[in-house]
Amino acid sequence: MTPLDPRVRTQWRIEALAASLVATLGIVIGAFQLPLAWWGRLGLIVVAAAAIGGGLQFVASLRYRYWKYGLADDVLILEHGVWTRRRSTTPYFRVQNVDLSQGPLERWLGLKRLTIRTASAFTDASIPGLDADAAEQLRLRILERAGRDAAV
Amino acid sequence: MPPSSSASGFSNGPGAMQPSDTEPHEEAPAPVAPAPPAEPGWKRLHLASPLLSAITTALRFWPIFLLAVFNQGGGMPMAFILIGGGFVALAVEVLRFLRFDYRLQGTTLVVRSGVLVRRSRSVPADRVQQVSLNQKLRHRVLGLAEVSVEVAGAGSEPDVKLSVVSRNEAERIRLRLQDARRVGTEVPPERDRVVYSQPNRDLLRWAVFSSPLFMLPAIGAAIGALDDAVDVEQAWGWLPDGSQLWFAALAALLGLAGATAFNGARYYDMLLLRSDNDFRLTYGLFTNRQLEVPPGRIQALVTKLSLAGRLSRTSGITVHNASSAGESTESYLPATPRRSRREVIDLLIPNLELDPPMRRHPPGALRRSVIRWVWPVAVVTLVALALIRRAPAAALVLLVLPAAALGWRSWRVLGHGETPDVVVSRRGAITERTSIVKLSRIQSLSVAANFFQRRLGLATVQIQVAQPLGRVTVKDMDATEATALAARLLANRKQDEETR
Repeated sequence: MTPLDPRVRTQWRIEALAASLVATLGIVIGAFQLPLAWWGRLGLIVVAAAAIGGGLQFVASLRYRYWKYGLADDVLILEHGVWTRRRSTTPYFRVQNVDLSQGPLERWLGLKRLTIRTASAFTDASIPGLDADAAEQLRLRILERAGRDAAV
Repeated sequence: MPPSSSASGFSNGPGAMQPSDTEPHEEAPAPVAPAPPAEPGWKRLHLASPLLSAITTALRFWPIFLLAVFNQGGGMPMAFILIGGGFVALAVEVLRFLRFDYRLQGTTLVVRSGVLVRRSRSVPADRVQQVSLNQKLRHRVLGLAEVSVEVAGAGSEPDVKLSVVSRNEAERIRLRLQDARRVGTEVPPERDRVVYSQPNRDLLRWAVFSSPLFMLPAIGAAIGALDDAVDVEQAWGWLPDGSQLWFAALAALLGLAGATAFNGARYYDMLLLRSDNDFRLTYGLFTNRQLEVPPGRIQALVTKLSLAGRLSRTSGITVHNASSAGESTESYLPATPRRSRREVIDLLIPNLELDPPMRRHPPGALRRSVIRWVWPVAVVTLVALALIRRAPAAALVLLVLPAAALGWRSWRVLGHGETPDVVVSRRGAITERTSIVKLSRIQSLSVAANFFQRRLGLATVQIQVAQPLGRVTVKDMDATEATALAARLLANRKQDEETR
């Protein structure tokens, strides 16, 4: 099983930071509704923002630690999840199409996300944080193994 | 041959459309001669279709009509808007009709459509998942039918719908697609043998019990229990004294009769026909539906044992094949008598081993099941206590007992089984669902365990199949067994695929 590209940690940390900033804004608004002295408000905001920010950063690093993927002979295997740990198996011959996508952050870091689609909308086969070149190669390898049989 | 002559009449301009009116009469005496014409050209839909479509569109705006009828004061401009709108709708439908044609080209159905953007879709017969013929009452009166052709896909592409063609033309398309699917067999096709008919008696019994109003006594009892809290007098005050009970009884009776009649009429006279290699399900008292189910395309069967089913000793069977179809074309036998359930399933998925010993799940699953049912009740009780702070609210605590009982029941039902051909998952507390999935149809699998499940050594297996069913879950298995099951399911699938 292969871990993701370490650069994806940066992507997830930045995303977690953005989420904690939004949450902090909510806390600030909430703190001003409460009947507190100024130091009480400040204390509440600092403590809550630190807890949320720290928690999200911690979850982001756990997420990286638990993300693994592997190409077996005839199936793609994904293992991931912090709270719910999931191991998903998708046979190559079920693949209907392979998508690569890249958001602005991913473009900056040189990463790509690879998503496999089958006839089921519930198939869990999307790998984030792949090196852009590696993603292209992975896509070709999967397509090579797919498409020998009817997919439905 | 009448069909080919009228077909050529169809192909050009408005002047040549006259023969279409007479087509049904010409073909009517000889419906048993399905020999297709040499190669008919492009065909249009039935002449009545723009009018019918316009009426269907207009009916969608019925509240506006209602408003126009009752709002006499501002009636004049309203009437103009309605008539104008009607004409626009009709004009659009006529344009659509003029730009819509289709043909059966060898084994491919080609449809051209679109007023501004021209679209041409080709559907090869061997990609067809399901062909269905629908006849609403108005279609039956006029001898017309709608044909829907479902193709596999996750809903991105709309399926082909011919709305409407003459009944004979619909049958011709159905048979042509069916013949095209059968490759290289010289055995004369077997047409329309009834293999199962769902007794209307059982259907009506199910329809009575499945009406939600059947629950009324229970709801009434609950309201009676909360009599102090709810001001019943206020709700019923507008009725003369003493007549409230009669009124309620009458309303309940009418509702019950209505719901029974609706479900009874919808699924009336359900027949499962075997026609060559395909199944066909036909039913309906007013709207007649014919669904074609190619057995090779069946992915899974789900049998449902609801409260109504228990009371009427029937169970519902849904046949899932891959298509982007919505609810309207789902093959559903709502009230199969319990004694013939097995027989129907064996008919639909023949030659496979379908009856595995069901394995129950470990005690940890019982704990999770009970907690899942009890915690919402506990939260509601605590909130109610916090808000009301009176002794009667504490009676809500008693609800924890039935909730726990349902949790236990849901664990008793929970189970899974496997044979070399299928995997079976059973779950539910009040309504019991048994899903039978063909191993050869599994798209992908996942084994998942959340924090609580990991502590109890449990895991959930999700079996992903093609849309519209999407997935079947086996909840709260023993974690090591779950991993082993997932591995076995994919290994068996490989074998199955190799033997093909």
